[in-house]
Amino acid sequence: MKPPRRAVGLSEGVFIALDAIWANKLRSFLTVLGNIVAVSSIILVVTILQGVNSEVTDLLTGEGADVYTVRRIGVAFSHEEVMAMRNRPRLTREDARFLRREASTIAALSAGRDDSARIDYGNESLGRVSVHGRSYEWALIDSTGLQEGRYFSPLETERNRPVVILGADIAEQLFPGLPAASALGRRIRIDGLHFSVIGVSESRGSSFGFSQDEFVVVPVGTFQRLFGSRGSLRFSVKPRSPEMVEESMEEARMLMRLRHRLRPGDDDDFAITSSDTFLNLYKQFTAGIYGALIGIVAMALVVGGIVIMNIMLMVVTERTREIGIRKAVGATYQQVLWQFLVEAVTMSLLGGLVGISLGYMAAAGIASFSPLPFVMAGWSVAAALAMVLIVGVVFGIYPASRAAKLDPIAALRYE
Amino acid sequence: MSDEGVGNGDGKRRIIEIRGLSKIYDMGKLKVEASLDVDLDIEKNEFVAIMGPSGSGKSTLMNLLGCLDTPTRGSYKLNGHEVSHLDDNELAAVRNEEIGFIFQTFNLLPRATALHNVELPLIYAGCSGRERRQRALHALEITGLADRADHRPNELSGGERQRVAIARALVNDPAILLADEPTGNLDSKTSYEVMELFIRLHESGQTVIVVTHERDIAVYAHRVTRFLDGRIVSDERQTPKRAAAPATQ
Repeated sequence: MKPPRRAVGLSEGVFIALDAIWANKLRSFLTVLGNIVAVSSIILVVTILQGVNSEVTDLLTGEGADVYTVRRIGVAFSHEEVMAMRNRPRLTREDARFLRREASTIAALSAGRDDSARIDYGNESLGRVSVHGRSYEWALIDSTGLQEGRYFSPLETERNRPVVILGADIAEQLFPGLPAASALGRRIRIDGLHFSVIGVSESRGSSFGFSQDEFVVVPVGTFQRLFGSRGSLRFSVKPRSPEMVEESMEEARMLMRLRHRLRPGDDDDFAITSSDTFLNLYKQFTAGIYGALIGIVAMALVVGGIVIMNIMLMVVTERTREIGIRKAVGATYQQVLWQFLVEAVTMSLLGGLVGISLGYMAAAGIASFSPLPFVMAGWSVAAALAMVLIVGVVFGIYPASRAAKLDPIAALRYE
Repeated sequence: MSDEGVGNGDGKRRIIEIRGLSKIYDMGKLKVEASLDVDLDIEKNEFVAIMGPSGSGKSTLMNLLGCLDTPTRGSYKLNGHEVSHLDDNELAAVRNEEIGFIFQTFNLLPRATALHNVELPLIYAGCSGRERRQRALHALEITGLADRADHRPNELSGGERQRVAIARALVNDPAILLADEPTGNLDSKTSYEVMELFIRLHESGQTVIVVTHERDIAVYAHRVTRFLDGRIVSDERQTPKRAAAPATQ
């Protein structure tokens, strides 16, 4: 009888929907409040977590992702565990030499410890600067690199020479206005003792708003002279290749057990951690936050969807006559269904878009007041839009089918 | 629409052929409220007034003629096609292409412009935007409202609204114009203008069916079919009244 007819164009449907939404601005806004809340909280929380993630990952992998650490005290989850760890033997330079000598998988090992001290040069005085003790293989492990000078020589480490490498900010603060190279050869004082500057680190920037360049590095033996040798050392270990991390960690564990004369069945009296250890802990923590987020968002969306459904049912009743007119001039079931479905989805999507911008603004606001970087995750926007689209379809289909099923005669007579 | 050319010359082609058409309403427990049992033929380019008091079944006939409803029994051929057993979507297609409705209460979309209201059937016919606009403007020109294309119904007088509705009914070049009390909400002067428009459309070849209970309106038709208790009680040709004063060009 006639050519097959297509559905009313999407743009036509969206136009009708926008017109109807605009005609009832306040109601439409209230209708999609659930969507707005759900979507803005997704965007806000994800953006904040992404910011924290990038900082934490930077921080945890600061020495390089393949570097692992042998330490006396590991991660403890209870007071009992902490108390048990307190009796462990401290790690010494002899342990470090043994491990370095016996292990076949280790490319570099630096024994070290951190503390803080006052630093003076001329009239400049800096209180409580981080002082890191490191051995000479630290040159192979340090991922930051030097902008000027050199690392410690083996001899300087062995002989406990008073030499020092400055963090970028410390060089800047001790020698304001001078190029980093001019720091080389100068003599500064750490807790009153004289040290020659042999190198200046590259800048690491800041993390969570704190400068990562306020430190000095001295040979570990020199460090022990400054701060005493009773504290346990920590070994930063770089395996021969990144693929060997697991294997190397296992070898180090066996050697340390041997060194400490542990019997089979005894617990380790030391801990070996990699950046993965902390990353995994951190991921467990954020997974909890994401789980809670999903719950809240799902609830908000379901509530929002039910509101949309009810409002759409009301809209269908209100516009019964319009539906009658459309059917009288030839709208089919599918065409009417489509129109009201597009309207529900358009409304839902608009709520989503408002939610995205609100979440974005809130996250940007937080970023401007806090040290967190502003990392907008594209997937969170896509996920939010997908969710409001689904909500629109799922909760819009019933009112739309009610509209599409209306009898044109009754609908035209409706007052 | 495919064989329309055939009928143009003789003016005798049957556009509506109804045989034993009946509608029985199923009111739940009260099974019967029988209202209709009709035979009726309407030729192309007739101007028919269907008259009857309220409750006579003329609304039911109007709904059946307009393919808004399906008969319980009988046959209804519209423009050569049997439409009595079509499903809802097929009926929607027939309404879209073969029937131009004109209602007592105009039934325009209140928030849409005159142009958009006239475009409505073309939207459901799947016309492109440009063709829609052209055809809708042309229909508005025929009804003398091209200069009101951008007005919304609430900015138009009753007569103008009804002329927008007539343009909408015309826009798909339907087989029949089906008007249900088209002047029921208009004053006598405007009624007269609207009927003038129907006369002009009839003269240009349209088939016009007006359902009314007003004798003053029926006098414009060439044929008057009277209804009572669901049956045709008289069906007469008459010399239609022609308006003396040409109120519109």
